[in-house]
Amino acid sequence: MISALAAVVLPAPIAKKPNIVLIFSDDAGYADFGFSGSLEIKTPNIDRIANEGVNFTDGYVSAPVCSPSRAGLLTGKNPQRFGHEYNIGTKMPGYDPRYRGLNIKEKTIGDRLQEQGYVTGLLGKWHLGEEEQFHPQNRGFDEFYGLLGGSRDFFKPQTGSRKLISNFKDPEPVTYFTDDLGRESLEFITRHKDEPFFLFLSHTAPHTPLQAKPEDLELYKYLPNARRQILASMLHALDVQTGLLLDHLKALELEENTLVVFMNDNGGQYDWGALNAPYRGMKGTVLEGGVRVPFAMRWPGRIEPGTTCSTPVVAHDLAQTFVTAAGGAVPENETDGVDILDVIQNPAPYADRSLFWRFQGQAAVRKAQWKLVRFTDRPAQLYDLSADPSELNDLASLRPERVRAMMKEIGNWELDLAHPLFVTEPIWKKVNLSHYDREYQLTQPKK
Amino acid sequence: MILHLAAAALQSQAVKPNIVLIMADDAGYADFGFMGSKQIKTPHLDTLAYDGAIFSQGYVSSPVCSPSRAGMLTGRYQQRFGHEYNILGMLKGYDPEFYGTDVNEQMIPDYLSELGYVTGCFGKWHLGKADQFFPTERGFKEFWGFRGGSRDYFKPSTGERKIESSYETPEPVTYLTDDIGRETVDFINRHADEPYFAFLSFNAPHSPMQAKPEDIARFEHIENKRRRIYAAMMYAMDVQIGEVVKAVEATGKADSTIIVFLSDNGGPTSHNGSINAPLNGQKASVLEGGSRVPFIVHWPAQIKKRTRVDSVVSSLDLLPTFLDAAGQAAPAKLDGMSLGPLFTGNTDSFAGRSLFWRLGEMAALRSGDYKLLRVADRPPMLFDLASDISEQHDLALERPGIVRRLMADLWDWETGLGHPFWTTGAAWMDSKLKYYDLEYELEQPGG
Repeated sequence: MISALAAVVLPAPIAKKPNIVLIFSDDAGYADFGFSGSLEIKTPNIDRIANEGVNFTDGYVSAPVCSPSRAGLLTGKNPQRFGHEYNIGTKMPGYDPRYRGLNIKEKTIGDRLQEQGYVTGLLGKWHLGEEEQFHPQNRGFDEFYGLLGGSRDFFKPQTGSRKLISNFKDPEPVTYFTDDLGRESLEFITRHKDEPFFLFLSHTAPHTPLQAKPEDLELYKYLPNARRQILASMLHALDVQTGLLLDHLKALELEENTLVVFMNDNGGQYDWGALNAPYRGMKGTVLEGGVRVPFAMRWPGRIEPGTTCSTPVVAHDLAQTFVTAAGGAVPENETDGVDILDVIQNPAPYADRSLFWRFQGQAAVRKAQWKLVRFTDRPAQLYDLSADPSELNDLASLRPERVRAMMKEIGNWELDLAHPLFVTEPIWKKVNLSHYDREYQLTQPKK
Repeated sequence: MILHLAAAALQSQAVKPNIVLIMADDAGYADFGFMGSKQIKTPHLDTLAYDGAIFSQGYVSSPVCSPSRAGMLTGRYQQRFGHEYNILGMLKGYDPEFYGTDVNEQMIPDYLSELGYVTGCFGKWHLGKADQFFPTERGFKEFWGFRGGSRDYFKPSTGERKIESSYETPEPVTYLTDDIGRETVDFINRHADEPYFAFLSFNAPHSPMQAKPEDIARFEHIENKRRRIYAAMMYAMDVQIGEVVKAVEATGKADSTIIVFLSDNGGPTSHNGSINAPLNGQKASVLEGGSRVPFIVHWPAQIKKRTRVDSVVSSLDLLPTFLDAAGQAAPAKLDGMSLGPLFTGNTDSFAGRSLFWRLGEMAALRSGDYKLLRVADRPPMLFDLASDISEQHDLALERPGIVRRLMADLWDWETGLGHPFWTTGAAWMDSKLKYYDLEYELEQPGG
């Protein structure tokens, strides 16, 4: 399962708490990065994180859309456990707006790392509630520069939940938002180089609106699809900023003691130029194309460069991973996740851990190579991911006992969940279901 | 189209018929003389049934109290307007303003008031506790009863269990079933000279299990104490129905009075001593035992004695039937059909009809004789009710094509529903999913 068998995780030689940098992209496809298989889009700087650390081939997010995915990541739990099943969209009759955000009873990674003595910063997209009680500064982040909503223009000033706000500076007029976030990340690191810091760099790229700098657009104008041209150019800017950040860590001699994670928030938005090949499905589905994401981690001295990990790991493992790295521990009854460093070092007990998803009526469980997808409008489907990563060959009718057992497992999991604290319009259920029946490009286009 | 046929089926009435709608609460399918019980004595209902029509395949639109009543009174699948779940107690995150039947929906008394009926509701309401949901805000001119779902039969109570009346200061309860009967008789006497609609909404035999000592004494031969009290509660309800029928007869208009009797859902056999034999399941399940109910219509002017109807009918059909009887076409938004044609043996419009149920993680569809159940923690189940009324022989693996078609039909129906305005939470659902694995009494006990 692991490329180098023994001791890919090295013992901790240092007492000093590591810095933690979590870089998140938004709506990119599984295969839109060099390290996860793109032949078209070049991301040499992001690839460094994987090449100098570990590439998780079976890395997942907690939910197939932005807000619940972030809720799962930051709390270390399946977000449905505390009512955060849906995206934060229109306010619906019957629901109390005071609950329309990340449940305030939940601790975030920011809260937990503050307890460990970290200074914490969020740069970029929040999308976990707009009311005062949900503001990042009230949810474990000392510093915030970004937007409360889910997306914004990359060039122009905006208002409401798209407005650029900050608690430590007058937010300058936006230049190109990805560049601005890069600049702020370097300044954050410089400001806090002498104390343990946690930086959540939450890019809005390449989420819509698709907007790139003219000079970046030049690089990809040969691509046949106009939307993909822009998406690739946006990812280029993101990659350049990631490179500047990694260089900055090195220049400040922080590289050795900084854990860097890169991942995307959900499956790629297929309608806006993202590609999830070889995975079928897209953002919003519980197919692999909706929940499996590019996921890499670098921690020099602790993770052997060039490691590949194919044991399934999930974004809500990061809370336990980070807090453990910081010298603490998330109590087991407060998380659904595990310490990923332990998964890398000692994969056997984690090999058949069950991972669950549920969104807009569809649900799924992955256990070892098996994946069951439960639908509202048709019988459940069973896939063997080891032989059929694209989920094309439904084995349900051949293995009814496995289907029955996995249905029961999902049902039992659901019984521990909370009721949704907010929902979206029922029409989205219909739109969402249609994404299961589409044809997807399942092979990488060659350059 | 159907409405047109139905309207033609009922000869136009010289006078608008009076309507008495009687609902029992949590009664077992088999716990009536006319349904075959040898233990439970319901002589007055038996007479009503034998002198009118017994519907052998009558359903309600939900297997629990509040949504079942919401569906019947609005004539629409209650999930269309957020009323999918029972009203049990507010969970956090929901807006109390919406905790009842959507105020934008019209109810039977709204329609009938416009046609010149005087309307009254007596007994249990359970369609919202807040003032905007109170019966007199929902089309009823008169109300005597309580807002909640259950209450003590002997003692005074407070809050949603308090007896309130729109037309008098309620006296202390004697035995609540007797009091509800008395108030209905009083209503009929007061309005004998105008068309009236009385909704006689017993809370018997819902818990608490309380009966009059002299009634309990009649059933000393029943060993199970809970069932003994249950039998006494049913007996007292039947006596009051006899009193109401007597009052109708005393007005001299019995021929032109429609009397309907049904129960609000299947018997909760785990709780109140009821029996649903030969049906499998119980209240709060989408098995037949949850939503198939005793269902009779008595209307001497239109229905011959000893009429038996085997067509699949629903509580959703009552509003269209009443409108038809009053000479009014039903609006297109209603989900049911007038039962009028069935009174004279014309079953065409009901042939092959489909009925749907959904209560959170459980859903079902009856289409012709097939019944499909979609319960979240197991594969879909398929039964042929024509040969298997007790839902014992799951045909899902044998007939995958039918399962697929019916799941698609179920989903198609779901796409027309709204989002729930409240839910009852995972712990409640946990307890109900167990109902599908219990053994039920499928044969009538001896006398």
